[in-house]
Amino acid sequence: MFAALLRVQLASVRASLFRSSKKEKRRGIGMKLLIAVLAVYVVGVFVLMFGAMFDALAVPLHETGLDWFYFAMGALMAIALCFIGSVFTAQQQLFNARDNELLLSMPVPPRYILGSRMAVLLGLNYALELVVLVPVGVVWLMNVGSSAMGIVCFVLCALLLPFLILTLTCLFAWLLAAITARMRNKTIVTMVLYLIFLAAYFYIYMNFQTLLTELITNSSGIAGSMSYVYPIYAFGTAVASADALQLAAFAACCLVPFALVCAILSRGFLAVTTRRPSAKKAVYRERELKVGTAAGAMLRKELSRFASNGMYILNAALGTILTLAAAVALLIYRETLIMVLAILPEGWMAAFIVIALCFLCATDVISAPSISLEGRTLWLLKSLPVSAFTVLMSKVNLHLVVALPVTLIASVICVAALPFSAAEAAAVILIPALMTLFGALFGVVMNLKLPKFDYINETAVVKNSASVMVTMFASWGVLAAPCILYGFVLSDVLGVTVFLYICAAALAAACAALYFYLKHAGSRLFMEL
Amino acid sequence: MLRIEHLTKTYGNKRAVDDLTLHIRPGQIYGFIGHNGAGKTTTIKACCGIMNFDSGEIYIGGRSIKSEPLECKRSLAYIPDNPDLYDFLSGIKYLNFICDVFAVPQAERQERIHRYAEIFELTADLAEPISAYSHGMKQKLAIISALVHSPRLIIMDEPFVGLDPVASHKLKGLMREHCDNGGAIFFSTHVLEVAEKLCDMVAIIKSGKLIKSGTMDEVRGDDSLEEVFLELEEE
Repeated sequence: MFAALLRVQLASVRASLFRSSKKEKRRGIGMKLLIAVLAVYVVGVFVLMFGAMFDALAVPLHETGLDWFYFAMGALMAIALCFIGSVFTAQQQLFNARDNELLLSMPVPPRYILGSRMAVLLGLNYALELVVLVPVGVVWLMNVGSSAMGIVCFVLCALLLPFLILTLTCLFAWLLAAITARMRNKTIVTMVLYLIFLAAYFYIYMNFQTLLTELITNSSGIAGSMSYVYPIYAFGTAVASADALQLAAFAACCLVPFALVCAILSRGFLAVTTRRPSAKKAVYRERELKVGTAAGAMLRKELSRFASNGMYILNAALGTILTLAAAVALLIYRETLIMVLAILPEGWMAAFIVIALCFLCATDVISAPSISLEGRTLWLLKSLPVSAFTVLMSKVNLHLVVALPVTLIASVICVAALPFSAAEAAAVILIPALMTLFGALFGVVMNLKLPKFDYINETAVVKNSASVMVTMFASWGVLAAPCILYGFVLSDVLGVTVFLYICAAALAAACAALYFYLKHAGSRLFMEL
Repeated sequence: MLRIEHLTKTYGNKRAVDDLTLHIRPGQIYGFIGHNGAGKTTTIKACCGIMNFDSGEIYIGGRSIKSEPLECKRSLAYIPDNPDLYDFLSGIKYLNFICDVFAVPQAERQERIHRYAEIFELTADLAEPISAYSHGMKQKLAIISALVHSPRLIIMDEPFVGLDPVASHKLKGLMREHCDNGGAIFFSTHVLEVAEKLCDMVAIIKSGKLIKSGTMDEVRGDDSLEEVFLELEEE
């Protein structure tokens, strides 16, 4: 029975990546290859980033006799990455899955349902953990070296660590589900928590160099305080000293809480998943209804869907959130930024700001999952007397309504805060706006090509569906291509401002092409979904 | 009101609907009966412009659903077999959304929403999100949303599933009233007793082909509709 549940879970994960729900066709080799390339790219970036970080730590810590602290830092980093990367997925997978009620109606013990889902999360944690621990191990071997027993301990600790992480994520997910199960507005709670994580992440990221220097100079003091966090200390000591006793202690730290959490969650699973909001019922009082146009109604409907799902907002509109944060940061650190950007050749400051803003715009994928999110309500849109083009444009407009004002505000702040010529200022405002429009149109086109309707929860569509991934990486590609072209080929021939306007013209042409595609072929494609 | 002419729809090698011809006139409640997988839902979806078809034609009020889909959709309402509505909207927001799409004037929408919500005892729940509704409440909301824009033709797929006996009774009354006012209704059902009592005309479909159609008296003769249906199914 457990094996059958596990097979279903794995099939769901496989399907979310390699199967298009449109006519149940498997994705072609090209799409599989593209997904593989994207995965290698993302993993590569993280591995290099952690490799560089631990390369700076390895020798100084070894020389001060704090080998254990090096590995403890690795474990801590792996815990942080896995926790941030899987906690919301855990909440959705464990407690908000669409098939929970179906499975609970079957003669399946709740612990089996929970176990099969936790097994998949464990797999996810292993994947995320490897991204940190592989560079940690390789950097140590290259700079310091290790005994065979040390390597064995490292591998065993790496195998055990995800159980500890899973214990933490499951507990947190359970807490989150327990809180939100009693609330009407779950979006706000999810958003606040996510933003706290995001703020913590960016605080560490922005102050990374300072923290690293402090870590190296005050390593003894920090190591002393970290030794109080026993599992982390045990991990570090077990690997650094190849200490079997510490290894056993670390195994106990990982497996005993995990077993306890499994027991607690299986008992509470039924209660949390079947709990209904106990908040006071809203009673309708008749009042004058507002009358609007069909297109306006479609857009309001899209906005309501967007506002109702915290994961949609935080994953798909991350670029907008970051753009807003960047604009505020620019106002605060204006002088510093001008000083830093002064080292760039003349005219390149505008290009740098355009690239930065466009990168953030390209991170927004609000329209990319919007057709998939129609899911079982797709019949409604098709049965209404609105054209397919109106439907598709309501999704484009949702993206624009959310992202464009923030992009324009950020662009205007940049223009006001930094010394640009009139031509540069116009480019700084125009190009990010065009990039936002391109992202909105391209996302809908990609979702038409790569729809996904057979999901168990909406998070799977918003976070992992092919249309979202392809839209984001292709948009970054669209941004990278002219940068490479100019940097390697055209910089001696064309002025940077002229090139910016050529890019603007190309983007405008691409937007026009996408618009006409949606109007004709795209509309036909939508009716065939 | 609704004319289906030589409708054919295939899925791969399977003919889901095979050369189906039906004519539903104003004032008629037309029942559509068949076993599971007979082609009822495919026919209904094709009539509503949700699904393309391979050959044949469907006319709604004399307009082709293929060449003038929006005009056709403006004069019809569709209630699916499973009321999957926008869970993130409240009942009233959903009804207002439908009214905006069908351009229902303010006074009419206010009056109709009040009337139908009262009939189906849903008024107090209209502020609640649809995600909090039971299956029956969603079905009632789907029915109200079909009626608020006052369509000439209503197409329903298993409309009585999930409704309580009181709501079923009220729906039957509203269906009769709609047709008495010159509208038409085309609906599928598995509940033969309901079809027998409610329908003016009936069509029986088997493996995509129309095997019998006509007035209720013509189809059932001296037997019950159930006996006729079972007999035809065995042939």
